[in-house]
Amino acid sequence: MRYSILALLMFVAPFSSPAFGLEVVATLPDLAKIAEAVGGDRVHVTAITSAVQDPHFVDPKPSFVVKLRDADVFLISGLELEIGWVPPLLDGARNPKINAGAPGYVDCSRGIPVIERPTGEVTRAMGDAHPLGNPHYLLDPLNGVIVARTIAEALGKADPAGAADYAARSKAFGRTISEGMFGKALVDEVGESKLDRLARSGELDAFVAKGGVALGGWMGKMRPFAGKKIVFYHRSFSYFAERFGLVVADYVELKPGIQPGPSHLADLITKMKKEGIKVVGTHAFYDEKVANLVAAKAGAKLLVVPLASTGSSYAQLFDTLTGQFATAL
Amino acid sequence: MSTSLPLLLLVATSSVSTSSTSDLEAELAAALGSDPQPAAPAPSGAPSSVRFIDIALDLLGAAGLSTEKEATIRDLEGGGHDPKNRGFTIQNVELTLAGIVDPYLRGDANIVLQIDFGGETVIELEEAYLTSLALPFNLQLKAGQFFTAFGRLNPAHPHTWDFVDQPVVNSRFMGGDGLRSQGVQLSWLTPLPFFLELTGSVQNSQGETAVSFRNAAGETIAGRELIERDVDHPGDLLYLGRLKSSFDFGEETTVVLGASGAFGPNATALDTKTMILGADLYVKWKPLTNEVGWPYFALQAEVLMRRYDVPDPAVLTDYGLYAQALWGFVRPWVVGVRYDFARGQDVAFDDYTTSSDPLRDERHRASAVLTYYPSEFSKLRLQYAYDRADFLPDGDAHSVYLQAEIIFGAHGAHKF
Amino acid sequence: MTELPWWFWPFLVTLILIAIHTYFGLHVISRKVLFVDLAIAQIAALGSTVAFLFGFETADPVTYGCSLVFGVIGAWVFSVTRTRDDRVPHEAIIGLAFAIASAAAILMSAENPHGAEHLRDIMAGSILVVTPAEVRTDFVIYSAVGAFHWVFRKNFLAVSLDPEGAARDGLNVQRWDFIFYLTFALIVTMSVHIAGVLLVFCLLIAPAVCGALFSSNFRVRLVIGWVTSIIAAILGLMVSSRYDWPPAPCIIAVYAAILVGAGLVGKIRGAPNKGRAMSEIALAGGALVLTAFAMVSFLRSEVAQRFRVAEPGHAEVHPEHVAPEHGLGTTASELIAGLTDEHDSVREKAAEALAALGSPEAADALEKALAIRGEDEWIRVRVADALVRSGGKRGMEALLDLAANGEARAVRTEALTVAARFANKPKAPLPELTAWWKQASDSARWDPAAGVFRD
Repeated sequence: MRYSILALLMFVAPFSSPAFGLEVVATLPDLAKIAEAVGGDRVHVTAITSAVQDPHFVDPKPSFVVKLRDADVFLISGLELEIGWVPPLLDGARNPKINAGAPGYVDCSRGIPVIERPTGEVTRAMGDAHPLGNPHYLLDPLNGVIVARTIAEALGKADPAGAADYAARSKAFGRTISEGMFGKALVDEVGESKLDRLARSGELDAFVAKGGVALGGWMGKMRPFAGKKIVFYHRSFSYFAERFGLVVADYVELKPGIQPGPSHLADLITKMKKEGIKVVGTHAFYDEKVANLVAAKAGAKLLVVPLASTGSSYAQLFDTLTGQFATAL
Repeated sequence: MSTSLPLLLLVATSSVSTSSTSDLEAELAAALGSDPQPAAPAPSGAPSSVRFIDIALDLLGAAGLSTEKEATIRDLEGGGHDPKNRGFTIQNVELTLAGIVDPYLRGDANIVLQIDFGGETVIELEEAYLTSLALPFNLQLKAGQFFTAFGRLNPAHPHTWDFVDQPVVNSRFMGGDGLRSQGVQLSWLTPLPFFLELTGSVQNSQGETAVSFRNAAGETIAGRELIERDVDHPGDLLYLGRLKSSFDFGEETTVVLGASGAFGPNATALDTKTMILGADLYVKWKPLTNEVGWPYFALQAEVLMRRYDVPDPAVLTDYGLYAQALWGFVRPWVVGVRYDFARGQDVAFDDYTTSSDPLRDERHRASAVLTYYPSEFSKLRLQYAYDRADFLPDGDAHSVYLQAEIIFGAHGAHKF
Repeated sequence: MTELPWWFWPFLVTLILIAIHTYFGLHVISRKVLFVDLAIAQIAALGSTVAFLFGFETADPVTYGCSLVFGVIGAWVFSVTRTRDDRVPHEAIIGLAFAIASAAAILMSAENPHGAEHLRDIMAGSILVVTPAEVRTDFVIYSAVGAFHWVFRKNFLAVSLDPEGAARDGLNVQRWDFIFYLTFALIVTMSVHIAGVLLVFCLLIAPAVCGALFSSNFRVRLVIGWVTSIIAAILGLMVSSRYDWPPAPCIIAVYAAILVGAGLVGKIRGAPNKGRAMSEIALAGGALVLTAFAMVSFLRSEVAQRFRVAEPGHAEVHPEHVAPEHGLGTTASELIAGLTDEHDSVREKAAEALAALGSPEAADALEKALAIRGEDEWIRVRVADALVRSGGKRGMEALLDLAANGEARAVRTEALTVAARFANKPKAPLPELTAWWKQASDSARWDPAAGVFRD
């Protein structure tokens, strides 16, 4: 019997090493898609949440624990988005490779310029506010490029033999996104990094006007709607709005995580009518009744937009979003 | 074997050291004046904040009314933190402290204050333990004072319960404050393709929080008085084995199954033992497009059995179960029902009769609850309970409770 | 019509095997001659090897027939030698038969190129690729054997459990022994083809052992054996699918775990002082676990010392993006610091600002900035611009290089424009400028006031 115990232990030992390629687990589906683009065949990627789910409120199910147990690299979105459910998963997974602080734990918010960082005191009187800033940065494709680099670096550390491969694929991903953003012609003309800097500093329009090549891609598609006002359910769309020139004038939620009462909705509807706001944006997991009510009373259109890509790639998210807004506005 | 610990640490830290050498190299290369690279990017998406300790305070209080007098209420509500007054009870003021000690250990402590029915403030160290973070082979070690990992409800803190009070069977077998003691626990997440976790622990078997085991001298059970009993050999400690498994059916339903066994000595004689076996089931349905957690449906049930040796010689067999169903039908309301049942084997001893013993008679209870959550951090709850028990003067009782809870500070997320 | 999952037929055939083998296994351990099944399985496998040498595949009816003949012969030999006296123990004969059959199979397969695979298939089986036809055949034959055994169960049980008593009752023990071994050989032969020798042996003995640990009643043992086997089969197939390992060894390994567990539980149940027994087991288990850890850690550390980890490559520059609140100074020294900032927009603005300043003290830093590998072309244009204005001629070379080799067309245009302005030839095409600079570079003088080179 003693030999059986020993045999059993020997049997168990090799289970912890990666059988085929790197095992990458991401919290959000967009992070998973970027990781797939960067890792290619060398990695096996799974996402814990799905694109139709609210990433703030996820049950830390035991089946997620099993996924993390076998993970070599764990990608989180960061900025305390997943703080409500990732710690018990890491506790249960007992995988020292991906504990906070270990090289396998990758906070993809590294290097992202965060917006809506609260100034002054943060207390819960402000609702469930995000004290480190708005965490939905993946809705700006240029941030996706930064994330790809972070992921490539992390994968390279975990799998040094493939580091060059990941770096190259990350560059290719960056190119795809830039071409999607600005149009291939402009990217060939001006170069990715410069366009990125121009878009972020707001000088893109002036620069393009001086040159001979037109602005294509998603930026070009949204150009006619620059400055248009919309109302959104929750503060999830700020990065998209800022990048593509929309203005989120107000929110249906009274405060993050707090349901709106009738007086706030009345104020909102009045404001919408006065300023001619024609679009109310929301996600599939928010209460449709309230959003429908606001849209109907204010004579606006309700747009249910995805928070993450439901297609096969990260870029598809923006094809969908720009298409939806272009039709609605 | 003494060499294995530093080797273990070597194994654990080896993954960390390879990354630090490459950083060091980059630094050296920069310092020695070769290609002047811009400084390595700082790991910041946000300004770094210092977070050495998380502190949270939870306040749980209730107001109650019952058809029974207060003395009987105390027998009806066997839980240490259950509302026992006609009037107001501060069930639980729980101060939770947690923090990462170093890359290998995490610390947690739970200090509970309550005001008992006499108006006295009682302070208890509910839990204080360290947890390992970096053991190989998916192992985890916990050491200190902690709740024994028996079933689903025993290790859960009162402010996470779905009802105002503890199920009858838990009060009887685990004690009013839950089964908790000082010791060591080792748990293993098996490498199987589904979730299977094995836990084993060894803890002290004496004290008021081990009522089915050595308890304290002078206490009685079924009319027999407990004696002083020491630990003579390792078999006199409290052992626990637990198996927990989980399966998902689609993306919306999760089932968690568990089986637990607690073994230890009891103090009715110098060689008597107690064994508690339990099985638990949890089923949760929640659609993917839930709004902040609504709607959802959760079912939870536990069945327990206790074999308590007494020196006659005889064995006292008690068993019980509870089953509860909760339905979050519209945000932010949750409605639920629970059925409790507990029964002890009828045994006569001197002038003790099972039917007059609130801790061993046959008892049924049905409760209905409605909870309102203004936010994640507060709740208001209304509960009605109907009791049928042998020891009650009228045979049955009705009770109504109103509970309020607030939590502020940084409280860690709860387990599934 | 929904497609059946991949594990359907393998699981079904495993269930059929479990059903019949558990029963036979109980007989086998009652007879206390455990290796007869292993020997018969190996002899049957030898038969299939012989057929294989003549070019018949494992699934051909001829192969089945051949191994059946061999199996029956083996069974006949064992039944005849059972009642011999104890000078030569029966186990010795059976063990030798196993060894000889295995050796013969190896020798015969040695010359054949597919010999090794064939031998491995015999041992590990091929449950995964079992065909529905094979499952149907097995089900029919096994049910027939099972029914036969049920009809004559009294005789079979008597002959296995109490042969002396049976003889006294007037039963022809030798004949019933032979019939038992015949049916046994038939079953084992068919099973070996699908499940392999190892799994057949395991499914015969392991459930019987589990049953025997907890009961002495034949029926209870049968039920316990069936339940544990089904659990082992399910878990074994799941593990096999997860890690892409052959299923038969996985099932055997899972069974090993179940046996360990059952053995421990049996030991605890039988011990007079249960707490003591548990603590002893816990200590023994703990000691073994620590030993295993020590061994594994030791192995890992030695290996790590012998094979050094390869040096990581030189870090590439990653242009990152400016955080909104990052500010830039206005004095030359602050701007120089900005040239090596981590954020690319800061570096670009620093270079632009230095171009406006045109102070010679920045020349050194600008030259260094120009040498940064992998820097963005636009930034290099600005740096080169600033360098020229600070009096560094190297800037001009860089501009001309960028004008010729810049990746983005706008970069090439911009570099050309700037270079042309510096050369005081605003509309000159690139070849002209390059040629001019080639001969004028040494003698040209920078005129800061006008912002041009004078040659």
